[in-house]
Amino acid sequence: MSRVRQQLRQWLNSWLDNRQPKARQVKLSQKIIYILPSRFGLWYILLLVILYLLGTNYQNNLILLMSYMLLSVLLLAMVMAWRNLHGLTVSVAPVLSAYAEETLMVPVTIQSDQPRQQLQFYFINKQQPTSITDANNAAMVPLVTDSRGYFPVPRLTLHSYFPFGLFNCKSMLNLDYHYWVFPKPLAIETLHVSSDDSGSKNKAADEYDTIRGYQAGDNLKLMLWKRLARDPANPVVKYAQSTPQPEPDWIIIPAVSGAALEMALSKACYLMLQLEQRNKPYGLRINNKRLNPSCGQQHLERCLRELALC
Amino acid sequence: MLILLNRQTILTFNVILVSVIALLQSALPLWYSAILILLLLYRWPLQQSSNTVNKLKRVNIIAALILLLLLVSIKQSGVFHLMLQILLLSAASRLVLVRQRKDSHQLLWVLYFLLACCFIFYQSIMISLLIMTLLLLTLCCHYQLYASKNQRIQLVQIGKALLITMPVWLTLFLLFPRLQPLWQIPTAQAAITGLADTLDPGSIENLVQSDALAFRVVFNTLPPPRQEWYWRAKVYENFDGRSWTVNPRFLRAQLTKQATSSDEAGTKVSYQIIAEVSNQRSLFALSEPLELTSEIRPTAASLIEARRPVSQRLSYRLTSTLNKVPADSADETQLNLRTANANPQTRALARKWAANGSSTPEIIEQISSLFRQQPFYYSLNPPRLGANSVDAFLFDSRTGFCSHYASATAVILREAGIAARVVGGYQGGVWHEDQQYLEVRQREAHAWVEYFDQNRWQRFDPTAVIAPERVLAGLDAVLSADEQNQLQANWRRFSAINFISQQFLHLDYYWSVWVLGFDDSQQRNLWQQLKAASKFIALLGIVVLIALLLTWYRYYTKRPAKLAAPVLLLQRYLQKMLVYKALSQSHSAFILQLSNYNPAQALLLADVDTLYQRALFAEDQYAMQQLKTLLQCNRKQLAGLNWPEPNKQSQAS
Repeated sequence: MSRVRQQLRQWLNSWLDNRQPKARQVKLSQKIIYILPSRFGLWYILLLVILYLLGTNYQNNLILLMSYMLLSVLLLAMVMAWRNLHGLTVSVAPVLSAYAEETLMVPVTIQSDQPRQQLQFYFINKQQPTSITDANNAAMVPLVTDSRGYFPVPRLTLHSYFPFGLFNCKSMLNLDYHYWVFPKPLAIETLHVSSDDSGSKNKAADEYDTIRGYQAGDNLKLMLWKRLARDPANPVVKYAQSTPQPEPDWIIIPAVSGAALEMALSKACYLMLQLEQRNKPYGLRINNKRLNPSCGQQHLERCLRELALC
Repeated sequence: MLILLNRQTILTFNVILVSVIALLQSALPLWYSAILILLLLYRWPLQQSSNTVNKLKRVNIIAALILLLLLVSIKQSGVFHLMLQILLLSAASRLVLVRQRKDSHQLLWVLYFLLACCFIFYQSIMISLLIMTLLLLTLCCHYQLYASKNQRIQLVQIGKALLITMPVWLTLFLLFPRLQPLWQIPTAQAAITGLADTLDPGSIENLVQSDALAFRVVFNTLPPPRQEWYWRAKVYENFDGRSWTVNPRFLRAQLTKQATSSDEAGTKVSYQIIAEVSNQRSLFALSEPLELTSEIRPTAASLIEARRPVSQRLSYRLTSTLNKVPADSADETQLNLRTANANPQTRALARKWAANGSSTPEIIEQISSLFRQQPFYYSLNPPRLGANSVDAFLFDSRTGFCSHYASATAVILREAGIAARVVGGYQGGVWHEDQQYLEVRQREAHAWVEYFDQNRWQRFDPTAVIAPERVLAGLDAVLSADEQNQLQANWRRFSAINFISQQFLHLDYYWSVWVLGFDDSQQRNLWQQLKAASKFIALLGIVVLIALLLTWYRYYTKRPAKLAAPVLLLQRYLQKMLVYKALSQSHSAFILQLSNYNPAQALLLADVDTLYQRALFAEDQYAMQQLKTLLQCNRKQLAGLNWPEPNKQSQAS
C-alpha cells in the first residue's frame, strides 16, 4: 500500500516537474494553478444537487432558480480563485541556512500589480500554513530541517480558499533554491582556546563530564574515588570523549564515520561559533582539506558549509 | 487554523436565522419557534465576554431534549415539517456555538437549504424578493468569511458579481432540462381552501365572501364567450337529503386513459391556468379537457386533478372542447339515479311530471318555468332550512343561492328518473383586457347541474334562469347594495388602495406566468425556437468570435514594447518632451537635463526623478503610487515644460 502511494507521489512529482520546470522566480500561469474543490465545496455541490431535486420534485421554479444561482456563485468562485493567484510572481531569498533540527524560516516574497487575498504558504502539508497579510509582500514560511547537508528547497505550496472557501486554489512551486543545514551545535566545555594560557590540568579535568568504566592505563587522577567507595567492584573514571584535543586554533575533524562523526561535527560547530564570537582566528581540517585560520562571518560560513558537506 | 468570526458576522447570521424562522412559521408550532429564539438568545450574554465559550456539552443536551420533544409531537407535524424543524434546530444550536470559520460551514449549508425551503411556502413576488435578499445577505456573509478582514464589500462589487452571474443562471433556468418528479414527496398538512368535498346549502355563500384569488387563466386561443366560463372543479354525486358529497370513486386511483369520443367538431380552447394554493387535488377546467400537461392527470367525470395536493402555486396547460361531457361508464348513470328518502313534496312533484310522459328537455323546461314563474329570489343570505332542505326551499322559503337551486334541480331530476348531479366550480371571472388574463376569485364559486341525456352529460344552470346577470355580468350585478357591501372588505372601498392592489396583482400575475409558470413544455418550445434559429445563432456566434479575435489581435500588436510601469507613466505625462530624448540617454539623465532648461520646475522634476528611480529600481509599489499622483497633480506644469529649439541649442553649444 505504501509502495503504491510512493509510486503515486513520484508520478505526481514528475508530472508537476514537467508542467513547471525549476526556476528562481515563478510567475503563476494558468498551467500551474490547480483548483480543487475543498471539503466544504463538495458539500456545497451536494447542496446544489439536492436543491435541484427538491425543485424538480416540488416543480418549484424558485427553488430551481436558487439552485442555479448558487451554481453560478460556484462558477464565479472558481474564476475569482483563479484570478486571485494568476499573474503572481513568487520568489525566495537566495541564501538560506539553518542548523540541523532547527526550523528554517524561508522568506518568500510575492510581487503583483493588484491586491491578493488570503494567500497561504507551506512546504509540508502537515505544517501550519503561513498567511500573507494584505500590506505585506513577504512571508516567513517555516521549513523543518532534519540532517545536515545541502538540499534543494522542497515544493512550496501556495494556496488560497479566497472566495467562499469552496475551492482550494493552489500552486505547487518548484523553486530553484538550495539551503544549507549545518550540524547542530553541541555544547562542550573543553574550550582550550580559553584555557591555553592558564593551563591548569585539574581545572580541565573538572570539565570532563561523562564517565566510563575504568580501563587499565587510565589516568588515576580521573578516577571517581567517592563512587569507588560505594561500589568497589566497578571503578569508573571521568571521561572526555577521546577526540584528540586539537591545537587551539585548529579545528580538526577526525576520520571517523557514523554517529561519532556527527558528534564530532556538532562539537566542532559549537567550537567554531564560540571562537567566532570571541573573534579568535581558527582553521578547519577535514580529511585532506584544510581551511587556513581566519575570522569573520564569511570564513565562518565557509567552514560551516564544509562541516555540512563532510 | 483558528480564524474567529467577528461579531458582526454572527449578528447577521442571527438576523438571517430569525427571519427564516419567521418565514417558516407555518411549518412550526409556536412553542417551537419560541424555544429556538430562546436558544439564540442564550448566546447573547456570552457574546459580550467573548473569551468564555459555550459548553458544547450543555448545548448538545439542550438540543437533544428539544429533539425529543419534536419526536413526541411528530404526529402533528408530519415528515416534511419534522425535517424543517430538525434543520432549524441544528442551525440554531450551531449558531449558538459558532466561533470559528470552520464551524460556520454547517451553518451556511443549512441556511441555504432552509432559504430554499421557504420557497415551498411562499411564491408571491414580494416574499420571493425578501427571500432572495436574505440569500444575498447570506452570500455576503459567506464571502466575508474568506475575504481579508479590512476589505469591505462594496455595492458596486455586488452589482458586478450579479451582472456576471446573471447570464449563467438565467440560461440555466431557461435551458437546463428539468426532471419529472422522481418520487412522492411528503407534503404539509394545511387548511383546505376553495370548494370542499361536501356541498351544504350554505357552503358556497360562505365561500363567496372571500376575496381571495382562486386561479388565473390565460387563453392561448380566442377566449370563449362568457356564458361558457364554467370552470368545473368537483362533481357531487351522493345526496343524503340535505347535503351533497363527492363520490369515493374520485378518491380511487386515476384513470389510465380517458376514452375520448369527442372527435366530432366542437370548439377547442387551449389555455393555461395558474392555480393558487388550495391544498386539494382538484383543479379547474372547462367542459371536457383533452390535452394535459404532465403536472395534472384526468380523473373520473372528465375532471382533472393534480398529482398531489396543490401546496404551492401550480401552473398547467390544457385544451378543452366545449362539448358536453361524455359518460365515463355505465354505472355512472346508475350512481346518479339514487335518491334519498327525504323531501316528499319534491318527490311527488317530480313523479307527477314524469308520469305525464315528458321527455328530459321538457322536464328541464318545466323546472325553468317553475323558477321563473313562482316568486323565487336569489339571495346571499337565504333563511336556514330544515332537514328536508329541498322541500323547504322549493315550497316554503323560495329564497336561495346557487347551491340551493342546483341542489333542488338535481333532486327533482333524479326523482323523475333522470340521472343528474351537482357540479361545483367557478363561473365567470374578471377579464383584464390590458393584461389579457382572466382572474377568478373565490367569490366566483358556483354550483350547477349536469343531467344525462343523449348519452352525454348536459349542463343546466338553474341560476341562469333565476338570475341571468349572475352568469353574464358576475355576482355583483345580482346582489343588492347591502349584500355587495357585505362582500367588500372595508379597505377595498378606497379606490387608491384598490388601484395599487390591482396593479400589484397584475405584477404578481406576470411573475406567476413568467417565473412560476415556466415549465418544461415552454422550455421545449424555447429549445425548438433556438433550434430553428440555430443558423442565425451560429452566424452571430461566429461574428462575435471574429470580432473578439480581431480586438485581441489588435490589442496585442498595437501594444508597445513591454516597458516597466514607471517608464510608461513618464511616457504618458512627458510625451511632448520625450521626443527630444536621445535613444542612449536614460530617463533620469533626461529629466536632469530637462530641469536645467526649466529651472522653475526643477524641484518638481527632481521629485519625479527620485520617485521614478525608486519605483523602477527598487520596485517600490508605494513610490509608484506617489509618482502617479505627483504626475497627475502637476499635469499642467509638466505640459508647459520648454525645450530649447535645436538650432538654439546648437548655437549655445
